[in-house]
Amino acid sequence: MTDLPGVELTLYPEDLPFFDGLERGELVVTWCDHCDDHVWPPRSHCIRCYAPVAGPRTLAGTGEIYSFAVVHRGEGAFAKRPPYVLAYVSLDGGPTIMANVVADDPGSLAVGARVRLRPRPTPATGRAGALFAVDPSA
Amino acid sequence: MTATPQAYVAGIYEHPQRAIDDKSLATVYLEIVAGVLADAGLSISDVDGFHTSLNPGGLPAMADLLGLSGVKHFDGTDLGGATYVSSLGTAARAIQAGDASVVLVVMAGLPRRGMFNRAAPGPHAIYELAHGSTLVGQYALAAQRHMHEFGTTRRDLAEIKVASSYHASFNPHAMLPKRVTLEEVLEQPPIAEPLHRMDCCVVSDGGGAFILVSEEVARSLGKPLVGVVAQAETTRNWNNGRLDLTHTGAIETGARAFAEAGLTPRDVDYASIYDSFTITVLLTLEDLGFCEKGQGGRFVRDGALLSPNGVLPLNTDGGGLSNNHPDMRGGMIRTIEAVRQLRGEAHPELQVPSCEVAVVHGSGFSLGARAMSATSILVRTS
Repeated sequence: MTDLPGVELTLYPEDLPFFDGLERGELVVTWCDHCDDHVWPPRSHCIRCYAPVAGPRTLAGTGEIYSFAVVHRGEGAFAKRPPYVLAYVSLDGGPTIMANVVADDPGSLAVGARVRLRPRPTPATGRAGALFAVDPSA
Repeated sequence: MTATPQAYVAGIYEHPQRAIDDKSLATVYLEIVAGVLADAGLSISDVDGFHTSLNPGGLPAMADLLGLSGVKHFDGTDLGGATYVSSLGTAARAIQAGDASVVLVVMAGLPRRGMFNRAAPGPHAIYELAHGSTLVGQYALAAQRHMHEFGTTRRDLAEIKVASSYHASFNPHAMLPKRVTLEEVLEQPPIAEPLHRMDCCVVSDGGGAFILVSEEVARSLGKPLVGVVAQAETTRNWNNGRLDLTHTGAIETGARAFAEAGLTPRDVDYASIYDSFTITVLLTLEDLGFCEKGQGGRFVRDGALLSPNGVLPLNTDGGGLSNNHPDMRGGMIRTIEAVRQLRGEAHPELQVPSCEVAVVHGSGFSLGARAMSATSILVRTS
């Protein structure tokens, strides 16, 4: 289930810290120093106070599954592939973000399960999304 | 006390076809408008207000196509599946303001041949595409969370499809007119677990229209009087990384609409709730106040949604799950069936006796990510 495709994405400056961070195995979000809060998805401005964001912040890369779905009919780059797990992961000290999840023990996949960012090999084409593994020790 | 109607639905028309291979979109539109004008007893020259949504060529192409020469009020808003439910309010307000007295609201689509009238991917899209997000997958995320928080089961969701199929069995135009059992629904292949095939609405061609008019025009036409007494809209989204998949915008639109109408959920005789997926209905029923949050699974059991004897007769045409789903938007056909019930023109086996109050709710885009919500309340008056 870790065999997820790269996806061709049009990225702008505000998107690069997140996607570049994933290639280093880091979970990076944009941050508003004025509100001392994340800004998600990554943006140039805080959508609460509208100040320009200060700079990216690297989180621990751990969290828990807010919800998950086993997608059997993917589209685009995910079409005609084995079922994969689409999820929302609530990051420790950060936002709830869309991600993929893998569970080495399929029975451990559950809402509320602890997860940790799992580094993905940089795809041959396109960009890799955020992949988390169920990890009770996370 | 029930509020005074702001405007009245004078005409309705639902295109009878579900798979249209041999007609242009222009022809489908003209058939629909001919149908709604005939139902209302009006002519195209009477129309002075026009609402539609995304269309090839936009509003000027539609005005040209339909021969709309005297229109003073236009609205081409796209709220996805909440569109047209929203028009009940915006057109009514235009009528109240004197901007128009006969507003044509029309939609059509041919998605079965790949024509999709939808907005281009938004600024959030890359954060979804990177993870293989699909629309069904997003609604599955909402369903899974509800199951986790409240113990809702696939069988509970299946009850919604079973009720839909029972109603569709009386509809000669329904795309899926065969009644299905709970077991049949549960046996379907998964699309995005926990949602399986029969949790999803159909993809159909077709469309529909309604005409909203002032009280003066309505009383001149001799049709049963169906009035709009309330309408509300809102949106929900990722909320800066603090999304809530178990509470939809219907919490807000329902409360506002019932307050404006001077009514409560207990007063509702019939509900038209857009059923893009079974979970859409479950969430909406809770959020409009027909049961406590989290109790939707219990509420829909034991035939609660069946007409005429259920606690809350719902989607008596079969809804998007079994009847049709033109242009991938449910708001229009939900509105039309509510008007049929209030007029007493629903199928005789499914007509709610003395139907006086109907609620119509549309959910647009995705309840699993970002959505529009619109609630309208319609009443039969004399």
